[in-house]
Amino acid sequence: MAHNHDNPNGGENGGVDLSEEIYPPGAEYGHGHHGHTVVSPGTLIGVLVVLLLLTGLTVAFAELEAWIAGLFEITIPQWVNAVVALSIASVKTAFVVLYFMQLRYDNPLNSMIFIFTLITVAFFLGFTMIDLGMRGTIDPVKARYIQPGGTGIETRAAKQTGVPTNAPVTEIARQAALARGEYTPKEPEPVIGSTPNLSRPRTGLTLPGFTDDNGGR
Amino acid sequence: MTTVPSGHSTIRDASEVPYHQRYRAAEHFRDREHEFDATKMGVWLFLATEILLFSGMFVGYGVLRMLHPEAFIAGSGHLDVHWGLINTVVLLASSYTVAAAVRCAQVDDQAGLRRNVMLTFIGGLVFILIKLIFEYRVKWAEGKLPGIFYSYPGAVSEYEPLWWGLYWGATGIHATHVIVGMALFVWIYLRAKKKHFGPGHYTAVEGVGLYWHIVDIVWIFLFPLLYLIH
Amino acid sequence: MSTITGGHAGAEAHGHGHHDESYLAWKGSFWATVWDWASTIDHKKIGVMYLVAILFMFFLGGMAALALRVELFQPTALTTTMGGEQVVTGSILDRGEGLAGASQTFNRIFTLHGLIMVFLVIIPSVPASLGNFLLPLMIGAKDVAFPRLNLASWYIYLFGSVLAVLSILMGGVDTGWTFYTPYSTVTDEGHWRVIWMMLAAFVLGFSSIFTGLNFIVTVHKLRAPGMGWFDMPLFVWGIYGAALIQVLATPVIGITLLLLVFERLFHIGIFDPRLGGDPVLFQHFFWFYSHPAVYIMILPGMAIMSELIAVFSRKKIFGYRAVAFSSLAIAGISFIVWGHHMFTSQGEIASVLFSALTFLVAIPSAVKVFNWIATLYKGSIDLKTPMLYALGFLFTFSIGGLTGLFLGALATNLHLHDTYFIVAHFHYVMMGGTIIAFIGGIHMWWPKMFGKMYNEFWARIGFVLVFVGFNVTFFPQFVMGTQGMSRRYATYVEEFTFMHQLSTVGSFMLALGLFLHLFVFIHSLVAGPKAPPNPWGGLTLEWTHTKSTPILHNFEHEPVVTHGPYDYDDVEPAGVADPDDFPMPEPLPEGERSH
Repeated sequence: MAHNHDNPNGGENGGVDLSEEIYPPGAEYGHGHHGHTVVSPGTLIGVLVVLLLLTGLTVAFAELEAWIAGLFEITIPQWVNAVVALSIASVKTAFVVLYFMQLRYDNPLNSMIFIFTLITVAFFLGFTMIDLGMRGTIDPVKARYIQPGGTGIETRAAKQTGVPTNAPVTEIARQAALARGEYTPKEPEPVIGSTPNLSRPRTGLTLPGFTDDNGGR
Repeated sequence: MTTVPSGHSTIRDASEVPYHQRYRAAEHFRDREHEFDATKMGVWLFLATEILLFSGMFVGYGVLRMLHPEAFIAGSGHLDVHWGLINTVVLLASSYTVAAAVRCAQVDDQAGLRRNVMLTFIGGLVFILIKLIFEYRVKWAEGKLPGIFYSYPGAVSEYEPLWWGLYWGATGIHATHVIVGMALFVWIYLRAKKKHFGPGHYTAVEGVGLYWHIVDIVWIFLFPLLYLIH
Repeated sequence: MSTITGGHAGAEAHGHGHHDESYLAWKGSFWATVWDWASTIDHKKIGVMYLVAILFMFFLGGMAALALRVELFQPTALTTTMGGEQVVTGSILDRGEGLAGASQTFNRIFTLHGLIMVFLVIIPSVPASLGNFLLPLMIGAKDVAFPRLNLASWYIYLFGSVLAVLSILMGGVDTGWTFYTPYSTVTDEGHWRVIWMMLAAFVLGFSSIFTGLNFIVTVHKLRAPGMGWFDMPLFVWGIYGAALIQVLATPVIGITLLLLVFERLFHIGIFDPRLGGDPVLFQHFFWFYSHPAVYIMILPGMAIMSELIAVFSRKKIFGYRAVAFSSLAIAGISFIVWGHHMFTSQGEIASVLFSALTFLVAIPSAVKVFNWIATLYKGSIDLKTPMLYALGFLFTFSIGGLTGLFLGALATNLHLHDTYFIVAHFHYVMMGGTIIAFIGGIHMWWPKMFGKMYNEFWARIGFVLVFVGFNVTFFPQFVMGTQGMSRRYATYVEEFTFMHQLSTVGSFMLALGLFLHLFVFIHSLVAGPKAPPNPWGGLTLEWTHTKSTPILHNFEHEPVVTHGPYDYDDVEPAGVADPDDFPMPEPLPEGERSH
């Protein structure tokens, strides 16, 4: 569909000579001859099938991982799960972007916008994680995670029970349910699969004189 | 009687020419192609802002999961993977139908265009209904609510309310985008009925379609992050 | 229905009113004119409306600043009278509620000042007003790419302003403009004004995004035939750099404020340590936008500077490409330095990293300053008011920029953090940089915008008052800051009294200068002499190819660019659309016509 000169209202160019001299090559004047690509129905269906397969794969992997961990009584590090799930999601995204959103056939400028956006997100995520994940590596004082503290907001449940308002919200909820007789405490089910703390090394040292009352953070 | 000089030197009544061929670009553009290109670039820039908007949720997720992995794993266990999977399939399929709708507009298949736009709308509707009926309603009734509204007694981790804060926040903002997209598809459908779109002019279909794909992509990431981690 | 024939006939059929009418033309009756402006999609009118609104907001924010300075004229203190009664002295804000009450009011006023100046004045200032007006003219376009989006941006700005003013009328907000948690989530409980203010900032973000998005597409797609990337005026490059940041950074403040509203209403816990969240995470979110936002503020100021310096030195800008690319470099680097606002709150590794990266900003900034100075060298400098402002910018921005290096150094920062040194630093950059350049820019393009010349003599007096007043206001604050005067306090130890009084005197001088400018502008509108199309002898398209004031469609014929924007050495008249209408640049006789 490249700039169809035969269409009924051709000559919209207002008599301006669209010669290469006035519109130098490389400048983006939008009437480029790249035209509009019509993606074939087969491609679209194919991409949909690939996307559905990948969705199945990511769910299957998550199940499989838990199953293997239980079967062989091994601990699979948490990052395996996260990395696989996010990699598959990225591949799916690539398919959607390249074919459904047609970036593959489109003006490269739009691809650049997309890529720069991803870079920006990467900086945002990366630097924030560097800060909050690497505290106390050099300076032990900084290892002290911010104390759970008192903004003093009363929860709904706390008003119903006599639990102090600075108790964890989960604890207040539990006490409230106990008081209403809606809940009988039971042992929490063991978590199958990767253990929670594996992906989270304890960073830094605790200063002498500080009691480690905050779960080692 | 208004006439249109055509490239084939046949003169037709202007009202016989479909809108998408009569359509003239706004006067500060050189031609329709120029306008289409500029608009598409604008849409891509808008999509960039959407990605960055959601990036806030993802950064919050990443950092807080790093700090409290046990809460996230416990919280994720409360979600039903089946509904998440069904919703993923629904959204992927609707992404396909909208891509097909753009194709139909490009090849002047008016019936196909209307059908695909309608299917996409239905996809969004199914997604929202599943979310409301089988997920939000259940979680709400069980007290699995964010922050201080949390009243579910069986928490494993102290920080589970935080997980629910992220869950409601991320899926809520995403669902809002789905609803906005559905409204846009109603608009597209009404215009498609008037045969506004075709090979000459289908900018709106293309733009709304791109938006819908981004909403889909956000869900492609939310699904494993919320439902599949353990 | 008109006959569709293509070519020019169609374009004229679209025309609103007469084709060659000034964009300011009266529409017959008062209400017709009001409606014409309210429903306009003309970038020039939208720019002018933005200018008026921004100047009004500048007035409001300035009044708040004066109130702060008056309060700080003496230390607020609790004194025991002869009768043994305890009274608050040295405060104009005391309403009989004791020291705490006066301090609370002070908190509200500085928050008001910060919020208005940042979100309602500086961020939209140059792009939305001068940028809107000039960008299409400079690249030879009829309008911005999405005129209706542009109008939407203006109404969203209005709506955001109304929300902000509402929250002020409801009693004001005392969180500081940064909305740090937990202040913003727990203080002022039971009131909605903090939420209104957050929503105001959220809404204003959309206005900013729409403007930026529009500019990026306009620059890419609507340049006149013959205008390559390196034929664009540097103003366009600067605005383009700022627009990139507007699009890529502003959404993050959107989600941040949305999460903050959720946090305040539902306590979802992301920023609340009690629920496992992290208040420092909020600071990351906030500064990920707000640091790039600082460059949204300064880049357009730098954009104006390049034009002022080149036109009033009548010399080709030195190092065009270096200046152009430095705009993009600043836009890029702006995204990776936000942590330098958080040296006291974040982890040490991140601090080291951010400190190192922060120094990178100095490179493109210095490239610009050195190139401007090199442009001045051997130029025929014409000390009109805009040029005076340009020279003032070089002075104040250099001080602001160099003190930024002190603050970027980790060890120094820990000492100076949250002192008046910081206050002075960012006022030297924002007020001394952006606002000074903005005022200079308004003077330069005033004849183009309104078709009238202003009074050069009184404008120069105004410059002297503004420049001296500004430095007297803020230089003492550097000194106080190094000595340990903390920001955001209504009171201080008596040793600082002299410095604070000096600062207050300076602020009134500054205000006097600004009011003088206002009167000069009003006088110009009422009784100023008619402006020629090109009073300063500029070579960019808005001077050489449009009338003062421009017609509705900007150009009578689509301009074809044949020379660079600063080719003062070898201009050929060939680029002029109609030589009779637009004689080649001819500087006015020195100081004649404007008096």
